[in-house]
Amino acid sequence: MNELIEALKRVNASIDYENEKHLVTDKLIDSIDMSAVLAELEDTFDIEIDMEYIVPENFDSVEAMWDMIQELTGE
Amino acid sequence: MTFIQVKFLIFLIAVFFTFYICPVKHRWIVLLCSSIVFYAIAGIRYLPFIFVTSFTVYLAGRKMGRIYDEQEEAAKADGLSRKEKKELKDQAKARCRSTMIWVLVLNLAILILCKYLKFFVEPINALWQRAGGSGEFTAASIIVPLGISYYTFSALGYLLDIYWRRISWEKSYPRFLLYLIYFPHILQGPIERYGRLGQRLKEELRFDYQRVTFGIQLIVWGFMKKLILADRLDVFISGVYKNYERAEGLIFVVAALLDVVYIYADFSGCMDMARGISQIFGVELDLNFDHPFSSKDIAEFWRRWHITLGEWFKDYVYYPVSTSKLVKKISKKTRNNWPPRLSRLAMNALPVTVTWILTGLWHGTGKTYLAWGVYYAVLLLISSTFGEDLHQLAVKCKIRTETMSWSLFQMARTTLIFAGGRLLTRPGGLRKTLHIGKSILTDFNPWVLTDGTLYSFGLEQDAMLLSAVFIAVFGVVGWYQKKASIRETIAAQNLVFRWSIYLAGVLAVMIFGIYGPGYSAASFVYMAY
Repeated sequence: MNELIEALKRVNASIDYENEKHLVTDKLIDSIDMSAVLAELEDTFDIEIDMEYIVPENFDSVEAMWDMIQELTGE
Repeated sequence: MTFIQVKFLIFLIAVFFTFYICPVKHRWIVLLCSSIVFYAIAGIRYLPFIFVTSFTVYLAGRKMGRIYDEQEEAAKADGLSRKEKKELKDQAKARCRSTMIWVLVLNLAILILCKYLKFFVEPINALWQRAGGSGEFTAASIIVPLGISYYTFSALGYLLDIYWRRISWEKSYPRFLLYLIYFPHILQGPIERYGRLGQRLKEELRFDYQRVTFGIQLIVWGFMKKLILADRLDVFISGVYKNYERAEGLIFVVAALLDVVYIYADFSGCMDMARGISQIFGVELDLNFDHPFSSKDIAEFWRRWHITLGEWFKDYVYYPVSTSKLVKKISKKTRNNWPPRLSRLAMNALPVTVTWILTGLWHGTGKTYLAWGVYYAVLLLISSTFGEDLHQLAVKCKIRTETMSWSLFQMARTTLIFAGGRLLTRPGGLRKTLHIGKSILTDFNPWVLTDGTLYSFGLEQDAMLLSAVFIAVFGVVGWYQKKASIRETIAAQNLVFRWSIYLAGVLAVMIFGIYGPGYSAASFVYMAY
């Protein structure tokens, strides 16, 4: 999980990722940041995030992102 | 057949009684049959097109849905690791990909050929004659099925949503056909998603007195916007742009501003009718306009204007492009090496440009619509990249940005930007637009407002004053709607007052509506898209 938070901080260090639970819904991560977040996650975890995963529910919190990464890495 | 023809009114009354006489569980069948009849009356030759689109997309959805269902069943087997489940999922998606692409390409090809072939009639004829062919094609010989842009977009949205596993597939073809051909939304949208409208059409559609009366009120309101305001203003605007050689300066400014009111009254009027008609059958359609002229910037405006089209482009064009490998590559290269603002601009440039050029081409072909798309792409990129800087600049200049006057300034700015966009497409050619733009900036002629020139373009003084009164009425109603529901407020009044308002609305349409031999009842602007 720390690795994920570090990756997200490289995109935008000003967000409190541990406590925010509506990152996308509240537009803390906007549509432009999203491509940076995807690029960072794909590089860090060596995964490919398809369109079917790009829904607000998968990016609203670090926990949701972590679950998605677990599914994509097959771990 | 359009909503503002007498034969449609007769059709609607017939459908209404048949619908509510039928048992609840069969009412959707009445809607399906009446929608097919409505479409056939509009042009029986259009029917094969919508059947091809609905059937191919339905079959593709069924095939992909079954593959995903099988994969989910297989994934339930004991002892499978997460990695193995992921592999099963990837294999299923790979099997669906070619089906999705073939059906997507087929339906886009039908759309492009029907909508855009007429613009290439001359080069096609030249090629045909050079090849020794006899006779020639005409634009009139090309069939453009009613509502093709709307139902094709709805169908492709369904196809992609199934492919991306966002919704479950529809098992019944007649149900899927109803979702596409449903007559209240086939003319001009809203571009409904299957996940919403498809489900609403499956609910028990029972009679509800209040919903039916609210629906009728919305229809009358739509009629008022269309027949009293839009069609009246259209006379003046068309008069100015057709006779642009003798108009100048302030006349063009008035025409451009009234054109903003015209397009809003025309399109939102039709949407009110569509939503009202659907409401009397107990089916809510999505909202397509949400007080767009209260927007503080152009990005907000496009979230409030033609909402369903904007959402469609956002979900099926903007996001796929902005999350593509190319944009992710741009993100990686620029994020740590470029200043943050420039990096954001680099990441956003391609998705915004592609989305807005396609939005422009959805509205029409030619240089004007291309220029319209580029115009909004550039404005939105400036807004998303430097919006915060502009706000900080205003603060530094000691402008109080939390005041009502600042909000009004922002709304006026948004309206002017929209009027500028309309000036690119409405006059009928970029050369004409340039001439008008130059005249607006260089010709100073305020006397045209008082010397009678204003009334020499088809709309006389009384008609102009009447339009001004109705603009004020619509403005006040729009302002009130932001605070409370007008229809609920009226419904809470006493019987006499309530019915006086209903009667006044109907009489206003009958007395002040534009009718006559020169008037075409099929002239909703967005029906052409």
